[in-house]
Amino acid sequence: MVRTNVLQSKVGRIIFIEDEKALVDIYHDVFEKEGYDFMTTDNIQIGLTITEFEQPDAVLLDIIIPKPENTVAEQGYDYLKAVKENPKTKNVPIIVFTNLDTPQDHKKCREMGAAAYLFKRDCTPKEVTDAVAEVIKRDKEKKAKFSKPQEVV
Amino acid sequence: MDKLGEKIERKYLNLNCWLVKNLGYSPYKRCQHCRFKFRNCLFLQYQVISSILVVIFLATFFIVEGKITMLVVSMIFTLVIVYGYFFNRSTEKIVEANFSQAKAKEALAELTKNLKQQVVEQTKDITKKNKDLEKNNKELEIKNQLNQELLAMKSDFLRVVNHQLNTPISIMRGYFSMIKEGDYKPEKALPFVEAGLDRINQVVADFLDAYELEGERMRMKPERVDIATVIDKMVEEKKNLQYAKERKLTISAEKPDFEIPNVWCDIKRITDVISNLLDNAVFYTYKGGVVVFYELVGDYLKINVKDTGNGITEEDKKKLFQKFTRGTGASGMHPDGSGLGLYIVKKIIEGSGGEITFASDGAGKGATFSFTIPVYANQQVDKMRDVVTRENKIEIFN
Repeated sequence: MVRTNVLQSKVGRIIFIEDEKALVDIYHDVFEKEGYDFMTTDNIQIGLTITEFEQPDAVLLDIIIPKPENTVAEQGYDYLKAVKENPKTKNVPIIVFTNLDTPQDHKKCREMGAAAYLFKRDCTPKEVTDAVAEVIKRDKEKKAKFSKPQEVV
Repeated sequence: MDKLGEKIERKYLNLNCWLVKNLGYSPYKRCQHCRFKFRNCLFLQYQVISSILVVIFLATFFIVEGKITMLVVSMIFTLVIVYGYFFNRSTEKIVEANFSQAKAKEALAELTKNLKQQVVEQTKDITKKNKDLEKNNKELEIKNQLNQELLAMKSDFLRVVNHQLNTPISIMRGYFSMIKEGDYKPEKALPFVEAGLDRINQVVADFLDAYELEGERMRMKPERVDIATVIDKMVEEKKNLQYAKERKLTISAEKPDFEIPNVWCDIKRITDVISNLLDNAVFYTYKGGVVVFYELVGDYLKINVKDTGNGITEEDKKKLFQKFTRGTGASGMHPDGSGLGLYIVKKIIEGSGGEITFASDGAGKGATFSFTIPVYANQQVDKMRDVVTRENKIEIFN
Protein backbone atom coordinates (compact mmCIF):
# COMPACT_ATOMS: atom_id res chain seq x y z
CA MET A 1 0.00 0.00 0.00
CA VAL A 2 1.37 3.36 -1.02
CA ARG A 3 1.23 5.86 1.74
CA THR A 4 1.96 9.53 2.13
CA ASN A 5 4.93 10.52 4.22
CA VAL A 6 3.43 12.76 6.83
CA LEU A 7 3.82 10.18 9.57
CA GLN A 8 7.32 8.75 9.58
CA SER A 9 8.33 7.73 13.07
CA LYS A 10 9.82 4.27 13.52
CA VAL A 11 8.37 4.04 17.06
CA GLY A 12 4.82 4.29 15.86
CA ARG A 13 2.43 6.36 13.78
CA ILE A 14 -0.82 7.22 15.50
CA ILE A 15 -4.06 8.83 14.36
CA PHE A 16 -6.24 10.12 17.21
CA ILE A 17 -9.91 10.72 16.39
CA GLU A 18 -11.25 12.88 19.18
CA ASP A 19 -13.29 16.06 19.55
CA GLU A 20 -12.11 17.11 23.00
CA LYS A 21 -9.29 19.60 22.45
CA ALA A 22 -7.83 19.25 25.97
CA LEU A 23 -7.48 15.49 25.61
CA VAL A 24 -5.94 15.86 22.17
CA ASP A 25 -3.37 18.28 23.61
CA ILE A 26 -2.47 15.97 26.49
CA TYR A 27 -2.03 12.93 24.27
CA HIS A 28 -0.25 14.88 21.57
CA ASP A 29 2.41 15.78 24.16
CA VAL A 30 2.50 12.31 25.66
CA PHE A 31 2.89 10.47 22.36
CA GLU A 32 5.45 12.87 20.89
CA LYS A 33 7.51 12.55 24.07
CA GLU A 34 7.51 8.77 23.54
CA GLY A 35 8.69 9.27 19.95
CA TYR A 36 5.44 8.62 18.10
CA ASP A 37 4.20 10.63 15.13
CA PHE A 38 0.76 11.92 15.85
CA MET A 39 -2.14 13.15 13.76
CA THR A 40 -5.60 14.13 14.90
CA THR A 41 -9.05 15.07 13.67
CA ASP A 42 -12.58 15.36 14.98
CA ASN A 43 -14.11 14.74 11.57
CA ILE A 44 -15.02 11.18 10.68
CA GLN A 45 -14.69 11.65 6.90
CA ILE A 46 -11.25 13.22 7.21
CA GLY A 47 -10.36 10.47 9.65
CA LEU A 48 -11.28 7.81 7.09
CA THR A 49 -9.30 9.55 4.36
CA ILE A 50 -6.11 9.97 6.37
CA THR A 51 -6.41 6.44 7.69
CA GLU A 52 -6.43 5.20 4.12
CA PHE A 53 -3.55 7.42 2.94
CA GLU A 54 -1.32 7.21 5.99
CA GLN A 55 -1.83 3.55 6.88
CA PRO A 56 -1.03 4.28 10.55
CA ASP A 57 0.25 1.70 13.01
CA ALA A 58 -2.82 2.30 15.17
CA VAL A 59 -5.88 4.52 15.45
CA LEU A 60 -7.14 5.78 18.81
CA LEU A 61 -10.88 6.21 18.39
CA ASP A 62 -13.34 8.09 20.56
CA ILE A 63 -16.93 6.86 20.22
CA ILE A 64 -19.07 9.82 21.15
CA ILE A 65 -18.22 12.52 18.63
CA PRO A 66 -20.84 15.23 18.10
CA LYS A 67 -21.84 15.97 14.52
CA PRO A 68 -21.03 19.38 13.00
CA GLU A 69 -24.53 20.65 13.85
CA ASN A 70 -23.69 19.74 17.44
CA THR A 71 -26.00 16.79 17.95
CA VAL A 72 -24.64 14.08 20.20
CA ALA A 73 -23.82 11.04 18.12
CA GLU A 74 -21.84 7.84 18.40
CA GLN A 75 -19.93 8.57 15.22
CA GLY A 76 -17.03 6.42 16.38
CA TYR A 77 -19.05 3.34 15.48
CA ASP A 78 -19.66 4.71 11.97
CA TYR A 79 -15.92 5.21 11.55
CA LEU A 80 -15.11 1.73 12.87
CA LYS A 81 -17.64 0.16 10.51
CA ALA A 82 -16.37 2.10 7.49
CA VAL A 83 -12.73 1.31 8.24
CA LYS A 84 -13.42 -2.40 8.58
CA GLU A 85 -15.48 -2.45 5.38
CA ASN A 86 -12.74 -0.82 3.31
CA PRO A 87 -10.24 -3.48 2.14
CA LYS A 88 -7.47 -0.86 2.15
CA THR A 89 -7.90 -0.06 5.82
CA LYS A 90 -9.39 -3.16 7.37
CA ASN A 91 -6.00 -4.33 8.73
CA VAL A 92 -5.31 -1.09 10.62
CA PRO A 93 -5.70 -1.83 14.34
CA ILE A 94 -8.36 0.39 15.90
CA ILE A 95 -8.11 1.09 19.63
CA VAL A 96 -11.40 2.29 21.04
CA PHE A 97 -10.75 4.98 23.63
CA THR A 98 -14.01 6.06 25.23
CA ASN A 99 -15.84 6.99 28.39
CA LEU A 100 -18.50 4.36 27.71
CA ASP A 101 -17.90 1.25 29.77
CA THR A 102 -20.94 -0.97 29.49
CA PRO A 103 -20.47 -4.67 28.63
CA GLN A 104 -22.62 -4.02 25.55
CA ASP A 105 -20.14 -1.46 24.22
CA HIS A 106 -17.24 -3.82 24.89
CA LYS A 107 -19.02 -6.60 23.04
CA LYS A 108 -20.00 -4.36 20.15
CA CYS A 109 -16.46 -3.10 19.66
CA ARG A 110 -15.03 -6.61 19.82
CA GLU A 111 -17.54 -7.82 17.25
CA MET A 112 -16.89 -4.86 14.96
CA GLY A 113 -13.23 -5.77 14.85
CA ALA A 114 -11.60 -3.29 17.22
CA ALA A 115 -8.14 -4.28 18.44
CA ALA A 116 -8.54 -3.01 22.00
CA TYR A 117 -10.88 -1.15 24.31
CA LEU A 118 -9.66 1.50 26.75
CA PHE A 119 -11.92 3.14 29.32
CA LYS A 120 -10.91 6.77 29.15
CA ARG A 121 -11.83 7.84 32.67
CA ASP A 122 -9.67 5.33 34.51
CA CYS A 123 -6.66 5.27 32.20
CA THR A 124 -3.59 7.36 32.87
CA PRO A 125 -1.55 8.55 29.85
CA LYS A 126 1.13 6.02 30.74
CA GLU A 127 -1.36 3.18 30.63
CA VAL A 128 -2.68 4.41 27.28
CA THR A 129 0.77 4.56 25.65
CA ASP A 130 1.61 1.12 27.07
CA ALA A 131 -1.61 -0.32 25.67
CA VAL A 132 -0.99 1.31 22.28
CA ALA A 133 2.57 -0.07 22.21
CA GLU A 134 1.25 -3.53 23.06
CA VAL A 135 -1.35 -3.39 20.29
CA ILE A 136 1.23 -2.24 17.72
CA LYS A 137 3.63 -4.98 18.83
CA ARG A 138 1.00 -7.72 18.53
CA ASP A 139 -0.15 -6.34 15.20
CA LYS A 140 3.37 -6.36 13.76
CA GLU A 141 3.95 -9.93 14.96
CA LYS A 142 0.71 -11.00 13.35
CA LYS A 143 1.50 -9.30 10.05
CA ALA A 144 5.05 -10.71 10.03
CA LYS A 145 3.61 -14.20 10.44
CA PHE A 146 1.35 -13.73 7.45
CA SER A 147 3.91 -12.10 5.16
CA LYS A 148 6.78 -14.57 5.67
CA PRO A 149 5.39 -17.39 3.50
CA GLN A 150 4.90 -14.88 0.68
CA GLU A 151 8.60 -13.93 0.80
CA VAL A 152 9.54 -17.59 0.33
CA VAL A 153 7.41 -17.75 -2.80
CA MET B 1 -99.16 -8.10 -4.73
CA ASP B 2 -95.80 -8.16 -3.16
CA LYS B 3 -94.98 -10.29 -0.13
CA LEU B 4 -95.14 -7.45 2.32
CA GLY B 5 -98.60 -6.43 1.06
CA GLU B 6 -99.79 -10.01 1.29
CA LYS B 7 -98.53 -10.19 4.82
CA ILE B 8 -100.35 -6.98 5.74
CA GLU B 9 -103.59 -8.21 4.05
CA ARG B 10 -103.39 -11.46 5.91
CA LYS B 11 -102.44 -9.68 9.05
CA TYR B 12 -105.48 -7.41 8.76
CA LEU B 13 -107.90 -10.05 7.57
CA ASN B 14 -110.72 -9.89 10.11
CA LEU B 15 -110.46 -13.08 12.07
CA ASN B 16 -113.13 -11.77 14.46
CA CYS B 17 -115.72 -12.06 11.73
CA TRP B 18 -117.43 -15.41 11.63
CA LEU B 19 -118.23 -15.02 7.92
CA VAL B 20 -114.71 -14.02 6.89
CA LYS B 21 -113.08 -16.68 9.04
CA ASN B 22 -115.28 -19.62 8.13
CA LEU B 23 -116.52 -18.89 4.66
CA GLY B 24 -113.71 -16.70 3.30
CA TYR B 25 -116.52 -14.12 2.75
CA SER B 26 -115.15 -10.81 1.70
CA PRO B 27 -117.56 -9.15 -0.77
CA TYR B 28 -116.85 -5.58 0.30
CA LYS B 29 -113.70 -3.51 0.51
CA ARG B 30 -114.77 -2.65 4.05
CA CYS B 31 -114.49 -6.24 5.14
CA GLN B 32 -110.71 -6.09 4.62
CA HIS B 33 -110.42 -3.21 7.04
CA CYS B 34 -113.01 -4.37 9.53
CA ARG B 35 -112.09 -5.71 12.90
CA PHE B 36 -115.54 -6.10 14.35
CA LYS B 37 -117.02 -9.35 15.51
CA PHE B 38 -119.59 -10.82 13.21
CA ARG B 39 -122.55 -9.68 15.28
CA ASN B 40 -121.13 -6.16 15.53
CA CYS B 41 -120.95 -5.82 11.78
CA LEU B 42 -122.77 -2.57 10.95
CA PHE B 43 -123.98 -3.79 7.57
CA LEU B 44 -125.32 -7.00 9.07
CA GLN B 45 -127.19 -4.97 11.68
CA TYR B 46 -128.61 -2.80 8.93
CA GLN B 47 -129.71 -5.85 6.93
CA VAL B 48 -131.30 -7.55 9.94
CA ILE B 49 -133.12 -4.40 11.09
CA SER B 50 -134.29 -3.50 7.56
CA SER B 51 -135.57 -7.08 6.89
CA ILE B 52 -137.51 -6.98 10.18
CA LEU B 53 -138.88 -3.53 9.23
CA VAL B 54 -139.82 -4.74 5.72
CA VAL B 55 -141.68 -7.70 7.21
CA ILE B 56 -143.43 -5.42 9.75
CA PHE B 57 -144.34 -2.86 7.03
CA LEU B 58 -145.72 -5.54 4.76
CA ALA B 59 -147.67 -7.17 7.60
CA THR B 60 -149.11 -3.78 8.72
CA PHE B 61 -150.03 -2.92 5.14
CA PHE B 62 -151.77 -6.26 4.69
CA ILE B 63 -153.72 -5.85 7.97
CA VAL B 64 -154.76 -2.22 7.16
CA GLU B 65 -155.38 -2.45 3.40
CA GLY B 66 -156.34 -6.11 3.16
CA LYS B 67 -153.89 -6.73 0.29
CA ILE B 68 -150.30 -6.05 -0.83
CA THR B 69 -149.84 -4.18 -4.04
CA MET B 70 -146.74 -4.71 -6.24
CA LEU B 71 -146.10 -0.95 -6.11
CA VAL B 72 -145.72 -0.94 -2.33
CA VAL B 73 -143.44 -4.00 -2.39
CA SER B 74 -141.19 -2.51 -5.08
CA MET B 75 -141.08 0.90 -3.33
CA ILE B 76 -140.06 -0.61 0.00
CA PHE B 77 -137.38 -2.81 -1.59
CA THR B 78 -136.06 0.11 -3.67
CA LEU B 79 -135.78 2.21 -0.50
CA VAL B 80 -134.00 -0.59 1.38
CA ILE B 81 -131.56 -1.12 -1.50
CA VAL B 82 -130.85 2.58 -2.04
CA TYR B 83 -130.36 3.25 1.69
CA GLY B 84 -128.28 0.05 1.89
CA TYR B 85 -125.98 1.35 -0.84
CA PHE B 86 -125.34 4.69 0.89
CA PHE B 87 -125.08 3.04 4.27
CA ASN B 88 -122.51 0.64 2.91
CA ARG B 89 -120.51 3.52 1.46
CA SER B 90 -120.51 5.51 4.68
CA THR B 91 -119.64 2.58 6.97
CA GLU B 92 -116.85 1.69 4.59
CA LYS B 93 -115.30 5.09 5.29
CA ILE B 94 -115.75 4.73 9.05
CA VAL B 95 -114.19 1.29 9.10
CA GLU B 96 -111.34 2.42 6.90
CA ALA B 97 -110.68 5.41 9.14
CA ASN B 98 -110.75 3.19 12.20
CA PHE B 99 -108.38 0.80 10.52
CA SER B 100 -105.80 3.44 9.54
CA GLN B 101 -106.00 4.88 13.03
CA ALA B 102 -105.30 1.47 14.53
CA LYS B 103 -102.53 0.94 12.02
CA ALA B 104 -101.00 4.31 12.89
CA LYS B 105 -101.20 3.45 16.57
CA GLU B 106 -99.46 0.18 15.97
CA ALA B 107 -96.77 1.84 13.91
CA LEU B 108 -96.35 4.44 16.60
CA ALA B 109 -96.08 1.72 19.26
CA GLU B 110 -93.48 -0.05 17.18
CA LEU B 111 -91.61 3.18 16.58
CA THR B 112 -91.60 3.95 20.29
CA LYS B 113 -90.34 0.49 21.02
CA ASN B 114 -87.61 0.86 18.40
CA LEU B 115 -86.74 4.29 19.68
CA LYS B 116 -86.47 3.00 23.21
CA GLN B 117 -84.21 0.24 22.02
CA GLN B 118 -82.12 2.68 20.03
CA VAL B 119 -81.83 4.98 22.99
CA VAL B 120 -80.67 2.07 25.14
CA GLU B 121 -78.16 1.10 22.49
CA GLN B 122 -76.91 4.62 22.01
CA THR B 123 -76.63 5.22 25.72
CA LYS B 124 -74.81 1.93 25.99
CA ASP B 125 -72.22 3.36 23.65
CA ILE B 126 -72.14 6.61 25.55
CA THR B 127 -71.93 4.82 28.90
CA LYS B 128 -69.05 2.81 27.59
CA LYS B 129 -67.36 5.91 26.26
CA ASN B 130 -67.93 7.57 29.58
CA LYS B 131 -66.31 4.72 31.38
CA ASP B 132 -63.39 4.81 28.98
CA LEU B 133 -63.06 8.52 29.53
CA GLU B 134 -63.04 8.02 33.28
CA LYS B 135 -60.38 5.38 32.89
CA ASN B 136 -58.35 7.65 30.64
CA ASN B 137 -58.73 10.44 33.11
CA LYS B 138 -57.42 8.26 35.89
CA GLU B 139 -54.50 7.16 33.75
CA LEU B 140 -53.75 10.76 32.92
CA GLU B 141 -53.88 11.64 36.58
CA ILE B 142 -51.45 8.89 37.41
CA LYS B 143 -49.21 9.96 34.56
CA ASN B 144 -49.39 13.51 35.73
CA GLN B 145 -48.46 12.48 39.22
CA LEU B 146 -45.61 10.44 37.88
CA ASN B 147 -44.46 13.36 35.80
CA GLN B 148 -44.48 15.58 38.81
CA GLU B 149 -42.54 13.00 40.78
CA LEU B 150 -40.07 12.75 37.93
CA LEU B 151 -39.78 16.51 37.81
CA ALA B 152 -39.17 16.59 41.54
CA MET B 153 -36.62 13.85 41.17
CA LYS B 154 -34.99 15.70 38.32
CA SER B 155 -34.65 18.84 40.36
CA ASP B 156 -33.30 16.78 43.28
CA PHE B 157 -30.88 15.17 40.90
CA LEU B 158 -29.75 18.51 39.51
CA ARG B 159 -29.26 19.93 42.99
CA VAL B 160 -27.26 16.92 44.09
CA VAL B 161 -25.18 16.89 40.94
CA ASN B 162 -24.69 20.60 41.23
CA HIS B 163 -23.42 20.33 44.75
CA GLN B 164 -21.63 17.01 44.58
CA LEU B 165 -19.70 17.71 41.43
CA ASN B 166 -19.23 21.43 41.77
CA THR B 167 -17.76 21.31 45.26
CA PRO B 168 -14.72 19.22 44.38
CA ILE B 169 -14.34 21.17 41.15
CA SER B 170 -14.30 24.46 43.01
CA ILE B 171 -11.74 23.10 45.48
CA MET B 172 -9.49 21.89 42.70
CA ARG B 173 -9.94 25.10 40.75
CA GLY B 174 -9.00 27.06 43.84
CA TYR B 175 -5.75 25.19 44.28
CA PHE B 176 -5.06 25.36 40.58
CA SER B 177 -5.41 29.12 40.41
CA MET B 178 -3.20 29.48 43.49
CA ILE B 179 -0.52 27.40 41.77
CA LYS B 180 -0.95 29.36 38.56
CA GLU B 181 -0.52 32.62 40.32
CA GLY B 182 2.77 31.25 41.61
CA ASP B 183 2.40 31.53 45.36
CA TYR B 184 1.51 27.89 46.07
CA LYS B 185 3.63 24.77 45.72
CA PRO B 186 2.02 22.20 43.42
CA GLU B 187 3.12 19.35 45.69
CA LYS B 188 1.02 20.76 48.51
CA ALA B 189 -2.10 20.84 46.30
CA LEU B 190 -1.71 17.31 44.98
CA PRO B 191 -3.53 15.50 47.83
CA PHE B 192 -6.49 17.87 47.50
CA VAL B 193 -6.67 17.40 43.76
CA GLU B 194 -6.49 13.65 44.23
CA ALA B 195 -9.23 13.75 46.88
CA GLY B 196 -11.36 15.91 44.59
CA LEU B 197 -10.93 13.48 41.71
CA ASP B 198 -11.81 10.57 43.99
CA ARG B 199 -14.90 12.38 45.12
CA ILE B 200 -16.11 13.14 41.61
CA ASN B 201 -15.34 9.56 40.67
CA GLN B 202 -17.38 8.25 43.59
CA VAL B 203 -20.36 10.45 42.72
CA VAL B 204 -20.32 9.33 39.11
CA ALA B 205 -20.02 5.69 40.19
CA ASP B 206 -22.94 6.15 42.59
CA PHE B 207 -25.13 7.65 39.89
CA LEU B 208 -24.23 4.95 37.41
CA ASP B 209 -24.94 2.26 40.01
CA ALA B 210 -28.27 3.82 40.84
CA TYR B 211 -29.12 4.13 37.17
CA GLU B 212 -28.17 0.53 36.41
CA LEU B 213 -30.13 -0.65 39.44
CA GLU B 214 -33.31 0.89 38.14
CA GLY B 215 -35.84 -1.87 38.50
CA GLU B 216 -33.47 -4.78 38.71
CA ARG B 217 -31.47 -6.59 41.29
CA MET B 218 -27.81 -5.89 41.56
CA ARG B 219 -25.62 -8.61 40.17
CA MET B 220 -23.39 -10.20 42.79
CA LYS B 221 -20.23 -12.23 42.84
CA PRO B 222 -20.82 -14.09 46.10
CA GLU B 223 -18.12 -15.88 48.05
CA ARG B 224 -17.44 -17.08 51.58
CA VAL B 225 -16.85 -13.99 53.70
CA ASP B 226 -15.50 -13.70 57.23
CA ILE B 227 -17.91 -10.93 58.09
CA ALA B 228 -16.64 -10.34 61.66
CA THR B 229 -13.19 -9.39 60.36
CA VAL B 230 -14.69 -7.11 57.72
CA ILE B 231 -16.81 -5.33 60.33
CA ASP B 232 -13.97 -5.01 62.86
CA LYS B 233 -11.83 -3.47 60.14
CA MET B 234 -14.56 -1.02 59.13
CA VAL B 235 -15.23 -0.07 62.76
CA GLU B 236 -11.54 0.78 63.26
CA GLU B 237 -11.56 2.77 60.02
CA LYS B 238 -14.64 4.78 60.95
CA LYS B 239 -13.10 5.84 64.25
CA ASN B 240 -10.91 8.11 62.14
CA LEU B 241 -13.84 9.96 60.59
CA GLN B 242 -13.73 13.68 61.21
CA TYR B 243 -17.19 13.72 62.79
CA ALA B 244 -16.40 10.76 65.04
CA LYS B 245 -13.33 12.53 66.35
CA GLU B 246 -14.94 15.95 66.72
CA ARG B 247 -17.93 14.61 68.60
CA LYS B 248 -15.92 12.03 70.56
CA LEU B 249 -18.23 9.21 69.44
CA THR B 250 -17.61 5.64 70.56
CA ILE B 251 -17.74 3.13 67.72
CA SER B 252 -17.58 -0.56 68.55
CA ALA B 253 -18.67 -4.06 67.57
CA GLU B 254 -20.20 -6.17 70.33
CA LYS B 255 -18.98 -9.75 70.68
CA PRO B 256 -22.03 -12.07 70.70
CA ASP B 257 -22.27 -15.19 72.91
CA PHE B 258 -22.09 -17.37 69.79
CA GLU B 259 -19.32 -17.75 67.29
CA ILE B 260 -19.91 -15.42 64.34
CA PRO B 261 -20.36 -17.61 61.27
CA ASN B 262 -19.02 -16.90 57.82
CA VAL B 263 -21.57 -15.55 55.38
CA TRP B 264 -22.24 -15.90 51.64
CA CYS B 265 -22.12 -12.61 49.79
CA ASP B 266 -20.10 -10.28 47.56
CA ILE B 267 -17.34 -9.01 49.83
CA LYS B 268 -16.84 -5.74 47.98
CA ARG B 269 -20.54 -4.92 48.01
CA ILE B 270 -21.08 -5.93 51.64
CA THR B 271 -18.15 -3.76 52.63
CA ASP B 272 -19.91 -0.88 50.88
CA VAL B 273 -23.07 -1.64 52.84
CA ILE B 274 -21.35 -1.71 56.24
CA SER B 275 -19.34 1.37 55.41
CA ASN B 276 -22.45 3.21 54.32
CA LEU B 277 -24.49 2.27 57.40
CA LEU B 278 -21.62 3.22 59.72
CA ASP B 279 -21.11 6.51 57.87
CA ASN B 280 -24.80 7.29 58.19
CA ALA B 281 -24.83 6.41 61.88
CA VAL B 282 -21.82 8.63 62.53
CA PHE B 283 -23.11 11.54 60.48
CA TYR B 284 -26.48 11.64 62.17
CA THR B 285 -25.17 11.23 65.73
CA TYR B 286 -24.11 14.24 67.82
CA LYS B 287 -23.11 12.45 70.99
CA GLY B 288 -22.98 8.94 72.32
CA GLY B 289 -21.91 6.35 69.81
CA VAL B 290 -22.50 3.60 67.33
CA VAL B 291 -22.53 -0.08 68.15
CA VAL B 292 -22.69 -3.09 65.85
CA PHE B 293 -24.22 -6.26 67.26
CA TYR B 294 -25.08 -9.67 65.84
CA GLU B 295 -28.05 -12.04 66.02
CA LEU B 296 -28.69 -15.44 64.48
CA VAL B 297 -32.05 -15.79 62.71
CA GLY B 298 -32.42 -19.26 61.22
CA ASP B 299 -30.02 -19.59 58.31
CA TYR B 300 -29.28 -15.90 58.38
CA LEU B 301 -26.92 -13.71 60.32
CA LYS B 302 -28.54 -10.46 61.35
CA ILE B 303 -26.23 -7.49 61.67
CA ASN B 304 -27.53 -4.43 63.52
CA VAL B 305 -26.03 -0.96 63.48
CA LYS B 306 -27.39 1.02 66.40
CA ASP B 307 -26.72 4.68 67.07
CA THR B 308 -27.77 7.31 69.58
CA GLY B 309 -28.33 9.97 66.97
CA ASN B 310 -31.10 11.97 65.35
CA GLY B 311 -33.43 9.05 64.93
CA ILE B 312 -35.87 8.88 62.07
CA THR B 313 -39.00 11.01 61.87
CA GLU B 314 -42.26 9.41 60.72
CA GLU B 315 -42.03 11.41 57.53
CA ASP B 316 -38.51 10.21 56.75
CA LYS B 317 -39.46 6.59 57.42
CA LYS B 318 -41.66 6.48 54.33
CA LYS B 319 -39.01 7.59 51.89
CA LEU B 320 -35.95 6.18 53.56
CA PHE B 321 -34.86 3.82 50.81
CA GLN B 322 -35.79 6.02 47.87
CA LYS B 323 -33.37 7.71 45.60
CA PHE B 324 -32.13 11.20 46.40
CA THR B 325 -33.71 11.36 49.84
CA ARG B 326 -31.89 12.71 52.81
CA GLY B 327 -32.69 12.73 56.47
CA THR B 328 -34.41 15.79 57.95
CA GLY B 329 -31.76 18.41 58.61
CA ALA B 330 -29.15 16.32 56.86
CA SER B 331 -27.76 19.05 54.65
CA GLY B 332 -26.76 21.05 57.72
CA MET B 333 -24.82 18.20 59.20
CA HIS B 334 -23.45 16.32 56.27
CA PRO B 335 -23.75 18.35 53.12
CA ASP B 336 -21.96 15.85 50.89
CA GLY B 337 -24.45 12.99 50.81
CA SER B 338 -25.76 12.09 47.39
CA GLY B 339 -28.98 10.69 48.86
CA LEU B 340 -28.28 7.46 47.05
CA GLY B 341 -26.54 5.51 49.82
CA LEU B 342 -29.49 3.70 51.40
CA TYR B 343 -31.07 3.10 48.01
CA ILE B 344 -27.96 1.26 46.84
CA VAL B 345 -27.59 -0.50 50.21
CA LYS B 346 -31.10 -1.89 49.94
CA LYS B 347 -30.44 -3.13 46.41
CA ILE B 348 -27.23 -4.84 47.51
CA ILE B 349 -28.89 -6.57 50.47
CA GLU B 350 -31.82 -7.71 48.34
CA GLY B 351 -29.42 -8.92 45.67
CA SER B 352 -27.59 -10.96 48.32
CA GLY B 353 -30.82 -12.67 49.37
CA GLY B 354 -31.17 -10.73 52.62
CA GLU B 355 -33.49 -8.12 53.98
CA ILE B 356 -32.93 -4.67 55.44
CA THR B 357 -35.06 -3.14 58.18
CA PHE B 358 -34.81 -0.20 60.52
CA ALA B 359 -36.25 0.82 63.85
CA SER B 360 -36.42 4.16 65.57
CA ASP B 361 -38.49 5.51 68.42
CA GLY B 362 -38.68 8.84 66.61
CA ALA B 363 -36.74 12.04 66.25
CA GLY B 364 -33.81 12.38 68.64
CA LYS B 365 -34.05 8.83 69.96
CA GLY B 366 -31.48 7.03 67.85
CA ALA B 367 -31.94 4.49 65.10
CA THR B 368 -31.07 0.88 64.40
CA PHE B 369 -30.50 -0.42 60.89
CA SER B 370 -30.50 -4.20 60.59
CA PHE B 371 -29.84 -6.47 57.67
CA THR B 372 -29.75 -10.21 57.23
CA ILE B 373 -27.28 -12.11 55.14
CA PRO B 374 -27.24 -15.88 54.41
CA VAL B 375 -24.84 -17.92 56.60
CA TYR B 376 -22.22 -19.78 54.57
CA ALA B 377 -23.33 -23.39 54.13
CA ASN B 378 -21.35 -24.70 51.16
CA GLN B 379 -23.21 -22.57 48.65
CA GLN B 380 -21.74 -22.84 45.18
CA VAL B 381 -21.24 -20.02 42.78
CA ASP B 382 -24.17 -19.94 40.43
CA LYS B 383 -22.53 -19.91 37.01
CA MET B 384 -25.47 -18.13 35.46
CA ARG B 385 -25.34 -15.28 37.88
CA ASP B 386 -21.59 -15.01 37.94
CA VAL B 387 -21.51 -12.05 35.62
CA VAL B 388 -18.69 -9.57 35.64
CA THR B 389 -20.15 -6.37 37.05
CA ARG B 390 -17.57 -4.01 35.66
CA GLU B 391 -15.42 -4.38 32.55
CA ASN B 392 -11.66 -4.01 32.68
CA LYS B 393 -10.51 -0.51 31.95
CA ILE B 394 -8.02 -1.82 29.40
CA GLU B 395 -8.91 -4.76 27.24
CA ILE B 396 -6.82 -5.86 24.28
CA PHE B 397 -8.81 -8.24 22.10
CA ASN B 398 -7.31 -11.47 20.63
